[in-house]
Amino acid sequence: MGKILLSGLLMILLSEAHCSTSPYRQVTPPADTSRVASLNGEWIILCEFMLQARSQRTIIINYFRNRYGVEYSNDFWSGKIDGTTPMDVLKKKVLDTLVQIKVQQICARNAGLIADISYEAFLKALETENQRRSSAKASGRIIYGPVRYTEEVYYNYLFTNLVNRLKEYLAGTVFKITEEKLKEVYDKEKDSLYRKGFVTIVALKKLRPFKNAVSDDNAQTGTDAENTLVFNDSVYSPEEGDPFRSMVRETSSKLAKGQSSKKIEFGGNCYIVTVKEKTSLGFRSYDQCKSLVRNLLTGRMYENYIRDLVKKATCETNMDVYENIQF
Amino acid sequence: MTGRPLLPKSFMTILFLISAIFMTGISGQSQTFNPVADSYIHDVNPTTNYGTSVDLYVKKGTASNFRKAYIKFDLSAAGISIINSAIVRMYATNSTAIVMNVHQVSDGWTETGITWNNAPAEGAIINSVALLASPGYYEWDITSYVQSQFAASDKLISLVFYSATISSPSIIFSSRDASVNKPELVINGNITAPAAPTGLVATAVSTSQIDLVWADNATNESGYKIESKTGSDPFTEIASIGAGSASWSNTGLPLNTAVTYRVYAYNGAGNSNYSNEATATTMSPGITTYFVDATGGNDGNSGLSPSMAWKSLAKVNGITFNPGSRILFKAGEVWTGRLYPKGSGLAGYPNSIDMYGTGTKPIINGNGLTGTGVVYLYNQQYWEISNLEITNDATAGDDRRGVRIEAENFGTANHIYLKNLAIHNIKGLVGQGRTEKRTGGIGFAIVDVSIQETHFNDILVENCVITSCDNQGIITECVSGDGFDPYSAEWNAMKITNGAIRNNTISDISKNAMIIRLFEGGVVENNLCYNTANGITGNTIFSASCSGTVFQYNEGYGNHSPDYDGSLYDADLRSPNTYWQYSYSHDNAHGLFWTCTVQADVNVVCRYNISQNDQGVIFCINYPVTSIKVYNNTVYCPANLSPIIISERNTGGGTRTYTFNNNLIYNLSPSASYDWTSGYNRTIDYNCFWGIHPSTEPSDPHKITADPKLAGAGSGGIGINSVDGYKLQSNSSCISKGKVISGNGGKDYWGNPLYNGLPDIGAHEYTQPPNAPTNLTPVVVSPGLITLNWTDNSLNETGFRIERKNNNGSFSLIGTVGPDISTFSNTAISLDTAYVYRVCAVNTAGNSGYSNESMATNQWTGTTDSDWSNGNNWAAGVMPDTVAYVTIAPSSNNPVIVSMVTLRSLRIAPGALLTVMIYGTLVINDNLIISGETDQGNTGSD
Repeated sequence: MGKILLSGLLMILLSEAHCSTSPYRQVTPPADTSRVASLNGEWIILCEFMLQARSQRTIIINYFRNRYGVEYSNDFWSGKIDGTTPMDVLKKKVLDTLVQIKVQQICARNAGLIADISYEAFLKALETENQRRSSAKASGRIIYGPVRYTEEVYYNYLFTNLVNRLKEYLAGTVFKITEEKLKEVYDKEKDSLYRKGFVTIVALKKLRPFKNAVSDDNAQTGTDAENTLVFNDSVYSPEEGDPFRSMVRETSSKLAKGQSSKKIEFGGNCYIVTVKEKTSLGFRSYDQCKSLVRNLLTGRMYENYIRDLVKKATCETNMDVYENIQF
Repeated sequence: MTGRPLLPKSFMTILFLISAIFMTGISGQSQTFNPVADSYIHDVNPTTNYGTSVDLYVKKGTASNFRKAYIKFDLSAAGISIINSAIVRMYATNSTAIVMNVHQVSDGWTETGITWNNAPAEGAIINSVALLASPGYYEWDITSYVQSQFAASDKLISLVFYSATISSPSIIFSSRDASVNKPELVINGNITAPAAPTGLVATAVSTSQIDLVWADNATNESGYKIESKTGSDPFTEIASIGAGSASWSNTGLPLNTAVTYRVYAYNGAGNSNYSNEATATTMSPGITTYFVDATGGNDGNSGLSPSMAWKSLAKVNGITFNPGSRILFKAGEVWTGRLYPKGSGLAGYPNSIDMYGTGTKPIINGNGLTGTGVVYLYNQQYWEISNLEITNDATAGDDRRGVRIEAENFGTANHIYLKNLAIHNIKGLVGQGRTEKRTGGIGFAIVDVSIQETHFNDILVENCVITSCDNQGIITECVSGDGFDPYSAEWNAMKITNGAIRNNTISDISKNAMIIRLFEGGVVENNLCYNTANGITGNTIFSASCSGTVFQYNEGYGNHSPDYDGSLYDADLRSPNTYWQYSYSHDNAHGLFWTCTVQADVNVVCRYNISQNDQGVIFCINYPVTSIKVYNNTVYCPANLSPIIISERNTGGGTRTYTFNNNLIYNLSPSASYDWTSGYNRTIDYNCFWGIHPSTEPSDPHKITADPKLAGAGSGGIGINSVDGYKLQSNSSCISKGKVISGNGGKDYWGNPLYNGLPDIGAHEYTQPPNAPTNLTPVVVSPGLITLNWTDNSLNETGFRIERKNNNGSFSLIGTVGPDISTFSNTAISLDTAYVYRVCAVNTAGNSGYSNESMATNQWTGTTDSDWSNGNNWAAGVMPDTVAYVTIAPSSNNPVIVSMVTLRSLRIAPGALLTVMIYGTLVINDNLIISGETDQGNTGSD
């Protein structure tokens, strides 16, 4: 007799090894987490340091080229010049930058704006974001900016936004910006920052070609009759105004009454701009400028606040790593 | 006479040619020449030119009123080697009895330029003739003078007629412009054939051009003739050029073609011998890779491998690259100066610049270079430049540019791609003028079109990072002037087609991140722009003289403009039919959209954008305009800012027509306002104004003031995935309350299709997730194929996701299908693996729930016989094993088990019969479903 044996519910099956087998998966090499320095107990790791070093290396290259006539070469960074090396100068500059950054990051963390300010956390976020962007791109969804962020770009993107949020946070908590403070700043700064502009009357001389027996259309001396142009800053000027008028306006904006420009060239001709009259249009009202005043004050208070924090910060360098940094 | 020629005809032809070539000369031949230039000059009108006069006046006045006649003959093309005699003949239409001198004079004058003030002074008298008081030709023998000129190899004979005698009235000679009786120079001379050119060299300089040079050995040639042939074809004449030539360029040739040339000189006495023959082959495109290494290279190397790399920019700049060339700069290296390679690629064979090796991008450091780009191309096309770091810093601003691509009277410059460039610290000029706006990161410039229309076509700037630049990020322009209306003749001569600026990051710019001029169509998308207008007023991205251009999916924040402008977008002068959409503006000095139009501007559209925490004018309507359409934008104003939500900024003439529909204004600020100006033809309707209502808030016939129930207003962070807080919730007051807008682009900010019922207000078109599919049934239909079928229960899905797992593994996506599809074929399967499937429907609002999970089963087909163990009877092609899920389907051969069989699961379908013989065993470890029949066979013993 045949048998049908039913053993009931599910039994354990042999499971396949489960792993991601996509050949296209990008592997990011492990970041060098050697500790270069600590700022108020927060570590600055080597790959974070090198990110800034890469960003600032051309500044140092230009500096040594222009000041000492040193051309870039294989041993550029280690070459001794004037008692120091380009690498020493670069490292000092990078460290100064990172102290500024870390202080702001710590401040943002204390404000609850960011949970983890370590560079390792940043790298993890970068990887996640790039995966999200790749996936979005593949499925036709929208991304802003590059398909794949580099460390530099994503770091700056996050940091500038973090600073904006930190400024707002501090403005609403620590700085205690009041209406009175804003009006005080407005009154103090309106003369230089919140003018409505001027009505400027400009005399424009076009230099005519010099004529003699030998024709030389390039030689220009002598003048034709002056043209008079009027620029009224209370009338909005479009971004893409007439290029010639824009040139004259731009030139006249840098001149005081009675001053003349140097010879300026436009469309194959040369001109001299003289400001005949410059009449102030007064000031924009406080209400019109309130946002700008608030930004200005917030920015100044933020700078002072961070400067103080930097002064008080304790930076300790791990010389074993710091001394051996090189490109 | 008839008869057979002694030589073949072809040979006779050769003899004729040889005789023509070897003509040796003609003695004592007379030739008459007319002047190539003549004019007279007059001291009373010292700056007047009389070059086109039909008369030549000669007069000696008393104290003034002097006139002199200048005349010039050109004997260079006559082939004369020896002058026997030279007689100049002048026809006097008005004559008196005086002595008329003919003088020597230099050749430094022109017929249309000579005046009393600039005429060269006459030299010694050559000869004199006493005129009579009657009209007619008079002759001067100037043989010795012409002979001396020839001896000095000067075959231009310039003469001045002037009288030493005071005369009145003037002597009048007919000029060369007279219809009859023109001046003549009659030469009797010996003519010899010119000497043959030698040393002909042919050099291919491109895929379509070969340059020829030779030694000009003749002194009496009338010119040169150039012949060419390809392969075994006979030589044919391809050009005839003037005397004294020693070079010529053969253009318009096909690529990779060998051409052989020869040249001869000719004159009236015959032709010279041929030069030597020279052959060159036009370049053929192909991938040739050159390597450049600043520290390890050598300009004496071949450049063809890393170990034989070139060293300097000067080396690269000195080469005209063949199409398809790749120039690779070593990673981590630094070059100072300008990179300006020559040559062009071809369609399909662009030239390219890139990096090799690992490490940071190679740096091209302008180090303060002015008036050009650190990377520069001029009248070139088909170039792709990638992965360079470009900088040009200095202590003071000047005319500095990062990448500058120029075309001037060129035609169309095609295919210029700039990708993955890192451009930073370009110390240009901060200001509003054109000079200032020319400095910065990347510029495409049409320099001039006065001789030939010039365009860029197919330009791309992609994935570049541009930071710390004065004054601009990216610009396009025409240097000689581009303020023209789209589709005017001037604009058509300089427009830019197929332009794309995408996925770039632009930050820390003193003025604009982008100025897009002269685009016809084109797209500016997926760019990230922040910290702009750091040094002067400016909008982050603006257009001018563009038509049909689309600006979308851009994020802009941190515009710091201290006064006017300062928005993410500005449709500036002459930007009709431009679209500004699907973008995210936040934390800018002004707002989302600034317009600055001309009356002809029409259909300027701002739609489906989000503005959060923008601080100034959110929407600025400025100047006369035919139509601006602002619709379905969502604006969030927090309590602590004082924005002007709409500003009609400018007063004056013209009509100013705009519409403002379906916008969602979420205002928490007590100091927000609207700024209205008389003279604007505005239509404001179907908008939602939520929160605080300023006294200046506009009336709106269909105004919504109820809570829009945004998912999280004000919660936007950075990036498009951070603004889901601006989606409508199901109980929003804005759902289906908007106005139908035709030509609305078809989708909302998040890509949801428009409309879902009636239009919603704001950037979001509310959409529910789709319903879940049911009845998923996977079936093994062949050894390599499992087919899934399900029931589609949704009307608004954009597709389905199909997921799979291996028994107790976890589900992963294995495929997607479009809407209204309810089947999927899974071919990537392993035999005897038990797969479990599930499916869900998707749309932009999210995913549905999942369908039932269902296992794929191996199905009995009974194709061959009733033997359970015969793989041919199974859909999978093999007998099911101990972990298999099995379905017994009805067939003409019902299965019979005669041995030990163990299964995971068994389903016997209706109409099917399974027989287990008495000596067989069936073990099922999981489930048994019997819809058909089973039979325990009794043909064996128990």
